[in-house]
Amino acid sequence: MMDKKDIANKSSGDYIYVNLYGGLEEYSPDSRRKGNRIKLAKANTVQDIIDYYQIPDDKARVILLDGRHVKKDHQLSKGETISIFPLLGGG
Amino acid sequence: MYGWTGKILEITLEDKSYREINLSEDYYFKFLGGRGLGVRLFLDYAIPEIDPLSGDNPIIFAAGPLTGTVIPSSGRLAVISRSPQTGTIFDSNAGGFWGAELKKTGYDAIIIIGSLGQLSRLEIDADGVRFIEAGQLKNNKATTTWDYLNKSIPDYRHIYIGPAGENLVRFSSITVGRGRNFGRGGLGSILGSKNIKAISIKGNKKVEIHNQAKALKIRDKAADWLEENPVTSNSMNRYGTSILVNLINEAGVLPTRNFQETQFANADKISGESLESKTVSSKSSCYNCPIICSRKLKTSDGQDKSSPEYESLGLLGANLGIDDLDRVNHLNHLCNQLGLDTISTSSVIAAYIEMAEKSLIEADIRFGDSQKIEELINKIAAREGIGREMALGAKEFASSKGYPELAMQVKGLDLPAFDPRGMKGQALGYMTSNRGACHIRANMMNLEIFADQDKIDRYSEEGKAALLIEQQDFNAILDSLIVCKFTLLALAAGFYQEMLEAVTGIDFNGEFFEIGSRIWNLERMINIKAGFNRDDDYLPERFSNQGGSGPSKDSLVDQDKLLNEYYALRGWDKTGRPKENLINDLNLREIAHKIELDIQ
Repeated sequence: MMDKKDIANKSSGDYIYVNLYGGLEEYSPDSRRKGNRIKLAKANTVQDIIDYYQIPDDKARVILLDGRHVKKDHQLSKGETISIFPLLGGG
Repeated sequence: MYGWTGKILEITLEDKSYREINLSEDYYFKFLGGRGLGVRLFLDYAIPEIDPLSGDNPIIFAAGPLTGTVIPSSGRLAVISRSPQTGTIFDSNAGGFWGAELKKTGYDAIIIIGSLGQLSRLEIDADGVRFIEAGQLKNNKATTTWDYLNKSIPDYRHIYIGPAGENLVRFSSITVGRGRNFGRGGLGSILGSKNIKAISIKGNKKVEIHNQAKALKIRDKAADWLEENPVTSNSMNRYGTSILVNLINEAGVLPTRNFQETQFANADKISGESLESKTVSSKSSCYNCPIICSRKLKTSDGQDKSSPEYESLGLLGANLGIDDLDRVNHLNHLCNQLGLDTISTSSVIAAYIEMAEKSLIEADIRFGDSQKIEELINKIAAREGIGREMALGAKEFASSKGYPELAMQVKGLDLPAFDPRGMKGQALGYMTSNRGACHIRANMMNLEIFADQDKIDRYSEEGKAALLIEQQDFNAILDSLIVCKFTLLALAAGFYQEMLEAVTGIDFNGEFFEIGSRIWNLERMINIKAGFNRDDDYLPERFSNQGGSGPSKDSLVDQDKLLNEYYALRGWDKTGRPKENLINDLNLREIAHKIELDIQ
C-alpha cells in the first residue's frame, strides 16, 4: 500500500481522477465528489486509490472506469477517471 | 385462520350496499394475498376483456397474510384492476398504514364494483360502510384533500385521488396517507370513473398470529439483518432511492431526453447526494418498518415537499433535460399534488418534445424548458388543450401523431429510469412484465450493476432469462405476502417462508416457491385472453437499432434471442402462451376454463 505522502510526492504530472459517490466523498480531504485527483508516476491499482483515501475495503463495492466495471487490481493509466460507489439499492 | 382474516368485503356502488364474504382456504393457499389474491378475485367479478373505465371493472384493495403483523416492513397494500393505460391485469403496490388498518377491520380485501352518481367518499369501520357526498373536494389537490380528511375524521387512514384521477387521466395515481402513491397503470382513474374521491378506514381488531413467540423471534432476526446490511440500515435511510442517480448515469443507463441518450452531463446536480444537502424536514416510515426510506424537504417557499425518489429524479430530470434540482423537486411535487405518475408523465412529455425538436409536429418546446413542461403537466391533469390528448399516455399519444416508435413503453406502460441497453436482464424484465415495462416486477439492476461482471455481464443476453424468471416469481410472492422488496437486499429468500409459516401455522413444504410461478402464469393467461401475444413483448425499436451513450454506446438489445430463451424456460410456446402441462402443474386448469382460455 502506498501512503498519501508517497503518492502526493510523485514528481510526474500525470494524474488519476477520482469520483467518490454515495457518502464516500467523506473520505476525500476536501469532501469532493467529483474532480478529486492524485498524482501517479507509475502503474498503480484501484486498490491504491482505495487505500490512499482510507476507504474501508467493504465500502468500495462498485468501481467504474469510463462507465465500465473494473476490479480493484485494475492497473491504472494516466488520465483515467475512476468512480467508486458503496453498495446501494433501490429503484 | 391465522394471519388471514378469511373474509373479504364486497361493496356495490350502484345500490350503496355491502356484504361480507367468507373465502375458501384454497384462495389463500394458492395465491397468498395482496397481488396474487387480488388477481384471482378479479376473475370472480370480471372477464379479462372488461372495459377498464366502466363501472363493471372491479377495483380490489388486498392485504396479505403478513400485513399488519409484527413482521417488519409488512405495511404494504396491493390495488388490483384492469388498467386503462395498459389493458393488462394490473396491480399497484404502496406502503403507508392503510393496508394494516384494512386487516384490523377484519378483512383481507375490499372489492368495489359499480359507480356512484356523484363525487363521493367512503368511510369504512366496525359499523360498516358509509357513502358520503364529496362535491366540495372536487378538483382538490393532494394536500388540501389530506387536510380535509385528516381534520374531518382524524383517527382514520386515508387514500384519495387528485384532479388527474377525477379527470380520468390514464396514468393517474392514488395517494395513500400524506404523500405515498399507488403509481403506475392509472388506477386513480378507476376510482375517478367510479366517482370515489377518497376512502377512509379504521379497524379495531387484532390480526391473529399462530405462533407469536416464533414470529417475534423472526422479527428480531430480520431486524438484526436489516441493521447489519449497509443499504437497509444506512443508505436507504440517509438518501432513499435517490442515491442511484450518479451510479446509473456513470454506468451509461440513465435515460436522457426520451432515451435518445443514456448519460446526462449534469446528473450530479440532480443526484441523491445533491438532494441530501437540501434541508430534510422529516423522515417517515411505513407501518412497522425499520428502514425509514422516505423524507420531506423544506423548500425555499416554506412548504414541506416529498423528496423525489430515484425514478422521479431520473425521469423528470435527465429524461426531460432538466438539471435544476429545485425545478425537478417542484415538478415532482406538482405531479404528486395532481395525482400523476411521474414516470408516465415524463414519458408522454418527452415523446412530445422529441417530436417537436425533430420538427415532426409543430410545437415550440425544447428539452430542459421546465416552465413549459410545468404548463403541460397542469394541462394533462386538467385535460385541457394538448393535455387532453397527452392524458391518454405516451403510447396512444405518439401513435395518434403518427410516431408510435417515439413512445418509450411496453404494453402501454412507460419505461422506468434504467435504460435497457446497458442491462439485458432488465431489458427482458421490461419486455415480459405482465403489467408492461416495469422495474419492480424483478429489479435486475440490483443484480446486473452490483454483480461481479465475470459472473453476470450486464451487457450480455446470456443466461438472463433464468435469472429473471427466478426474480419475477419470487417478487410475485413478496407482492402477495406482502413484505417490502427493500428487505430482500438483506434477507434470504427462505426466510420469508419461515415468516409466513410462523404467522399462519400452515406448513407450505415444497410448495412455497411454486406460488410465485402460479401467480405469474395466471396473469399471463389473463393477458392472453385479453388479446396480448408475443408482439406485445417488444421494446421500442430504438433499443435494438440505436446505441446509448458512454459505455452503452455500442450496445443493442437482441430481443428475439432474449424472448426465445425466456419462453422456453417458462414452458410457453413460441407465441408466448403457457402450455397445457404447465397450466395443469400449477393447478390453473380450472381457471383457464373459467376465463375460456384455449389451452394448446
